[in-house]
Amino acid sequence: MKVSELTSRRWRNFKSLRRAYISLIFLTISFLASLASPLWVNEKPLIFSWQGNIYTPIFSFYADDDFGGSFKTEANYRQLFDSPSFKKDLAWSIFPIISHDPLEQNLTGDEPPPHPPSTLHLLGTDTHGRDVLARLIYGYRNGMAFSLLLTLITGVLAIVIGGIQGYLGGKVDFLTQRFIEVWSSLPFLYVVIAIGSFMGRGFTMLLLVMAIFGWIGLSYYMRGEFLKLKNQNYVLACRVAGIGNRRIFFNHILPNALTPLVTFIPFAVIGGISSLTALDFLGFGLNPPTPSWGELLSIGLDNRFAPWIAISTIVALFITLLLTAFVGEGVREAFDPKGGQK
Amino acid sequence: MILQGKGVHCHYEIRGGLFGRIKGAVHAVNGVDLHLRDGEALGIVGESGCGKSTLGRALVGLEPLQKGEVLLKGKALNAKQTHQEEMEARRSLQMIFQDPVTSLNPRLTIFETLSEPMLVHGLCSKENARERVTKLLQKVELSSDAMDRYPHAFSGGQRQRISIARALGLEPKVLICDEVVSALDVSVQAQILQLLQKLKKEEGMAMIFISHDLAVVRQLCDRLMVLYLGGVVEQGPCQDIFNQPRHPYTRALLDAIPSLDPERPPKLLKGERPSAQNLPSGCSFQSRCEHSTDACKLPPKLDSSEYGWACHHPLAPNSQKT
Amino acid sequence: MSPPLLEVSDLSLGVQTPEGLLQLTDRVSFSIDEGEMVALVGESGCGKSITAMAIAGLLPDPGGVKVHGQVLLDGNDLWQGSDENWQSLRASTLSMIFQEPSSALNPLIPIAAQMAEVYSLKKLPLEPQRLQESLTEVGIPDPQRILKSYPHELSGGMLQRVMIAMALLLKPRLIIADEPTTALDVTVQAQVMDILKRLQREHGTSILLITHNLGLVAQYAKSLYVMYAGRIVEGALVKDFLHQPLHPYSHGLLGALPQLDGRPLKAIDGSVPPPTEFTEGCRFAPRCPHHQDLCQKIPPWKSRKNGQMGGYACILEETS
Repeated sequence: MKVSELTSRRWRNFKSLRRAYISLIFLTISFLASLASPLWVNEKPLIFSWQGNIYTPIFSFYADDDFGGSFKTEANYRQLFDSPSFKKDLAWSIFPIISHDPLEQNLTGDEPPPHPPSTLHLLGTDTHGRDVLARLIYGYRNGMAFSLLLTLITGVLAIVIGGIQGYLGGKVDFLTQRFIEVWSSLPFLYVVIAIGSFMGRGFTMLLLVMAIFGWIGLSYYMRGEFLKLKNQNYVLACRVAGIGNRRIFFNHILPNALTPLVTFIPFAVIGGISSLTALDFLGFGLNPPTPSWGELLSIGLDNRFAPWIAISTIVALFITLLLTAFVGEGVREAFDPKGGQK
Repeated sequence: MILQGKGVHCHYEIRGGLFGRIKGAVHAVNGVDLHLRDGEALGIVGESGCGKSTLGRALVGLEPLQKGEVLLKGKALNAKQTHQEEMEARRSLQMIFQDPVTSLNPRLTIFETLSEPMLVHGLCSKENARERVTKLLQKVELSSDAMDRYPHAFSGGQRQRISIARALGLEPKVLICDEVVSALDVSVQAQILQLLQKLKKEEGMAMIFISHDLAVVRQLCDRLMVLYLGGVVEQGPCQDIFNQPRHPYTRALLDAIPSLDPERPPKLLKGERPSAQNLPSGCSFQSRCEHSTDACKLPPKLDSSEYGWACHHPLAPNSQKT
Repeated sequence: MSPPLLEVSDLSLGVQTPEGLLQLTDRVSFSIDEGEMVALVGESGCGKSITAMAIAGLLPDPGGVKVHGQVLLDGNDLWQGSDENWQSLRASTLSMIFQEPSSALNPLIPIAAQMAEVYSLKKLPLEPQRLQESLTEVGIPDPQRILKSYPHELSGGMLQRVMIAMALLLKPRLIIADEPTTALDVTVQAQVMDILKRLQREHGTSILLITHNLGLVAQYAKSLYVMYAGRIVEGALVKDFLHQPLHPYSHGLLGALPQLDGRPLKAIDGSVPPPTEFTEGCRFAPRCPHHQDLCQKIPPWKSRKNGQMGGYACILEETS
């Protein structure tokens, strides 16, 4: 992909703001790591050798009776690895770094959950005995992925709708604007709850519902940018040269109109994470027992005698949003017309 | 006659009130006739609000005409053309704009900007595009290493040259220049004017040169058209009008220019220009004219399309020479 | 001979950039007497605007820097003393008008309130009759109507007259006019310049006219200084200058100016160097038809002969 000189200069400006650059690197690495979380946060072993065979439980399904048990359901590796008969034939094994599953309830131990932080559970457990650290990591994955996808979908919708409005103007703009005014006056929260209650509340469903409302604000900006840009002299010159509408829209106006959109992306991501967390907190978001920060917050605030739940979630949320805000600052700096240009 | 405008009317509606009712209209161009011959340079001058820019854009199709028509090589340019006809017309009629900063897409290289029109019209292929662009750059006296750079690397004068090169790529018969040197310094302005003079001679292009600066127009144009409040007040051979302006407004315009001769101070024109929304009936200049009488309440007619003036009391031919 | 009202000596200005200090003007010196109109002429990038801003105390903040030099306004050093001192000096002595009247005025506030702001900003009591007086002075026949209007209701010419009236409120002795008529039609320009000339004649107001329009200079200014790439390259009385410009750039400028008689133009080749490429030697040399090796050194300032005031910065002798 050819990178224009303008873009490389903006990238350099972005990098010049150290905290933005470092935040971006950190967020990217941590998000990619969280996507691979089944590999390192899991109660199943990664790989082990038993009775001369290699087993990889994370990638394949092994039934209980494969290891000498009597059930055809998936083997319970914790029990297995505790039982002496199994361990007799175990050659070696590699476990993920954090060997807890976010859904696994640890009801063993002397006390009932929630358990405070210990060597076994680094950040303790929640009221169901689930490992808090594991839930934080999976929650991060879910929240960040949700927000990024939401930003992508709303961005595309905003460009298409706002762009067409701004470029065509006239009746199209007028009618679409009236539609948007009606649409945006619908109480978003109620609609989400209503649709959620009869369509189910999966990740995809929630994403779609939030997307069909989330594009409105951005589309105002795109409409404005297109309205402004279509009267620029270089666009007029294209029209005079007989260059068609589609080419003008995609090759000339769109690349220049994306500028304010790019500066919004980090803040849209923040918005997405916050919205999802809020919905989950209220119980209208992702279905339990899906790991999510909102749900952790809710449990944490209900159980203040177990402060490790709330505190770890708040700290995680704070750091994530802060780093994303730094990235946003860096993007603004990169696109600042005064910085670095004549 | 390569380009003709007949009875061109352009006005903007003003909407107001609760339901966006039409409250009035700004009459930017009021019934202008113009004609241009092959290889001829026509200057359109006037002050702000006279409609010269609107007229230029109407000729090129960027501005809708409420009444009247524009004819290119005898064929009317209107919405009923086929795509083929429109593209052919576009090739013949090109425009260059005033602001060098916004005339070029900042995200495209000079090569991309210059080659695009030619590629779209099929005048060159991807293979020989670079060669064609080099030739265009040569015509406007820029070196070929400008091709892979971006607009921000160039000065105002150079950017105008690039805009001229872009227009030349389609080998137009008519070039409309809308205040193309107004945003440039004097020394750069002179360079661009010399370039335009050279192109007019070498390419044999007809040109319409829109400007508020009469001295600049004098350098380039064979014929001149003076506009006031959307109407033509005087038109004819450039030299004749400069030497002996017949319309009082033309005289006032020439007199207001500060010359380098301290013995000839500028003369003041009294009053203010009336609003283009409420055009006075009759002669549009009567409120400011020293010679106006009751006769001026009737609209004056431009008595000739070659050399004429729209005035009931034109100035005598032997008044002061410029 | 009374001392000049404004005396600029060796003023060098620059801006702070991420890459260091960029010097924009180099040892600019000129003076303005009481009741005189002096023109500072040059094209874009020559430094005339930033010089005017520095005198008016409007150097860009942050970034604008005085590297060297002195400006004496009525004998007072503008950079000496506190900010307050400077403010009160400027209030009564100096005023400025700008190129774009529409962007110099707040579109949300009626004219009367904006004019009154001039008093409140300088912490002086409002003199309401002065508002009407100054509007009449600039030739506005119905000041009451104008006072009640908003900026967008007035034409460009009218707005510029309002700006001049605002500049006149505190009866300044020096008005700095930075391209006051560039955005105006030529007929309106004549009216506005006429007002400035009248002020000069009737009130003895001095005017520093910043412009690139040599026609205005010829008609209205008594003396002029030509700037090129941050330096003054020539200074003279306007009548002497028009009769015989001495610096090659001045020649070039006059030759490139389109005249109403349609005489052919002589363009100057090349373009103005940007501040990052300023040299120690003559900055016009690359474009000069008389360019020699000696031009690599700082050009000497030579006085005009025959008792004429002013001089020029070039190694060439006056006869060439």
